[in-house]
Amino acid sequence: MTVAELDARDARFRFDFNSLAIPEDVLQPIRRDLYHSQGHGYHVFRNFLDPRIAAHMQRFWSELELTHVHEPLPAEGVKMLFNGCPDYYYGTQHGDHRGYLNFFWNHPADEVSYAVAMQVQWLRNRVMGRTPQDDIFPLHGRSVSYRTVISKRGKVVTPTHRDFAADEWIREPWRLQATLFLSAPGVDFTGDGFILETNRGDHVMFGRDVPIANGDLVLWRYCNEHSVLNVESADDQCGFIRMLFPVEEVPNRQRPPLRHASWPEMRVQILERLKATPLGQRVLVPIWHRIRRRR
Amino acid sequence: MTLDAQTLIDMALDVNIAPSTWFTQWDELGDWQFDILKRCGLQPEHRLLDIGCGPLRLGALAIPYLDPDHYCGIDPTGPLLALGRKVIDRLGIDRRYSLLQSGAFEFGRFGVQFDFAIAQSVITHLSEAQITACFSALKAVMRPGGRFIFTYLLARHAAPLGFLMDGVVPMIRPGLADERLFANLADRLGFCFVASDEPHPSQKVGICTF
Repeated sequence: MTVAELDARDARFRFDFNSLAIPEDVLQPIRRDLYHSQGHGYHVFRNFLDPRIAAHMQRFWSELELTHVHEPLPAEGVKMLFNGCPDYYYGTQHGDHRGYLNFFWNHPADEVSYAVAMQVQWLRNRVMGRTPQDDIFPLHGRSVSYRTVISKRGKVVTPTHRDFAADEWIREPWRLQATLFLSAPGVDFTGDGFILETNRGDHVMFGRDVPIANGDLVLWRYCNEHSVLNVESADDQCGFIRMLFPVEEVPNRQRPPLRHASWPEMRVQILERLKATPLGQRVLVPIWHRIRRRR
Repeated sequence: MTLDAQTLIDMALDVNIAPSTWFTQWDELGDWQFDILKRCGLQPEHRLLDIGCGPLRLGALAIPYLDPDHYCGIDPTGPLLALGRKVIDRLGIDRRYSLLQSGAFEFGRFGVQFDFAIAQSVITHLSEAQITACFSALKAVMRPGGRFIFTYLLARHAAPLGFLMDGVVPMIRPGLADERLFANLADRLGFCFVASDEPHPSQKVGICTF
C-alpha cells in the first residue's frame, strides 16, 4: 500500500518520520529469511519494480553506448575510485560482458535508475539494521556504487567465491548484497545464470530453483558462496542484465586537475599566497591599496 | 558455557534484532566485564547493578556467580532484555535475577543498595546532562565503598554526535574532550573518580568509589 493510499484511507494518518520509515515488524520475517541458520540466506522482493520501470531500465542499459556518459575504468580497477570520481565503464559495446559503475555524487545517466538505486540502498540498510543513509556517500571512506552488468555469454562469468573470506564476516555480520534483476532467465538469456549457496549449505539457481523475473530484487547474505555461470543469449536477446550494489573503498582523494593553470591564473594564485604571509600583510597589501586609491 | 555468534543471531532474530558486531564480540567483552569486576573485588555475596545490561552478556557470567537475586540489570530497550532472558534460559541458568526496562536511571526501583555497578558502552551513548543524571542516581543506591566501573571515549569533535542506534533508536554521544566532567561530578556528589589504566578492547575505563 502506498503512502498516498494510506493517507486517503485513514484521516488520522499523517506524514512523519515514523510513517515514512520501514516498520521494524515488517523487516522481521525478511531478516529471518536472510540471517537465520535455517533461513534461505536470500530474500526475493517480487515485482520490486513495476513493469514500466523495469522495462525502461532494461531498455536504457541495453542501449546505452559505453562512452556516451561513462569514462573507461582505469586499468587498476576499483582501487582507483575516489570521492567525486566520474562514472566508469568496462568491457566492450558488443562483447560478451560490459558494466557501468555509477556513483550517487554524479549527475545520473538515468534518473530512474538513480532513484531506484537509492531506494534499494535505503531498504538494504534498514534490513541490515543500519542507518538509512549508510554508504550512500563516502562519509566513512566507503560508498555504494550502483553497477549495471550485462553478460551476453560466458561459461564462467563470475567464478564461484565468497565476498567474505574465512571468518571475515565476524567484523560485519549484518552485511548483505543486493541484486536487482533487469532481465529474466529463459526469456532474455539461457543457461544457468546466478547460483547462490543457502544458509543450509545447498545451492539454488535463480530461474530454475527460485522463480525470478525482470524487476525482482534479491537481498542475499554477503558470506554465502555464489557465481554466475553458463550464460548464453542470441542476438535478439538482451542477455543477463542485473544491477549490483557493491560497497567500494572510496578515499577522499582530491580530483586530479583537469588542466594546468594558465599564466594569468598562476600569477593571481602566487599573489594570493603572498598576501596571506605576514610580510604580505604588512608590506604588499598596503602597497596594493595605495595603488588602487591612486587609480 | 558460551554461545557462538550464529546461535546468538538465530535467537536475536526471534526478537527482530539484526546481526551486529556485539554478537561476534560477545565473549571478548563479556569476559572483560566479568574479569575487571572480580579484580576489583566482586564476591558472590555482593549485589551488582548492570547499567545498559542489554542481552545479558555480562549477566550470563555474573548471575550464576552471584547469590540469587544479587544481579540487577537495567536497559531501555525491550527486545534486548527479551533476548537476554532467552540467553539465560538457553544456558540453563536457573538462578533468580532482576531486570528493569527503563532509560531514566531508576536504579532505586530495585529497592536495594549495590556493592558494584558497571556500565559498558553506556556513557558513550549519553549526553552530558544524562551522564550527570546517571551519576546522581547511582550516588543514591551505592553502598559506601561501592565501586562503579564504566567505559568512555574522549573525542571532542567525533561526528556524528547524534546518531541512530541500529538505524532506529535516537542517541547522543557526549563528545568529551577530557575527564573533567567525571572529576567535577565526583567533587559535587562526593565520590572518588580515577581514570584507570585498565586495558579495554576499544574504550577508556573509569572507576568510581562511593
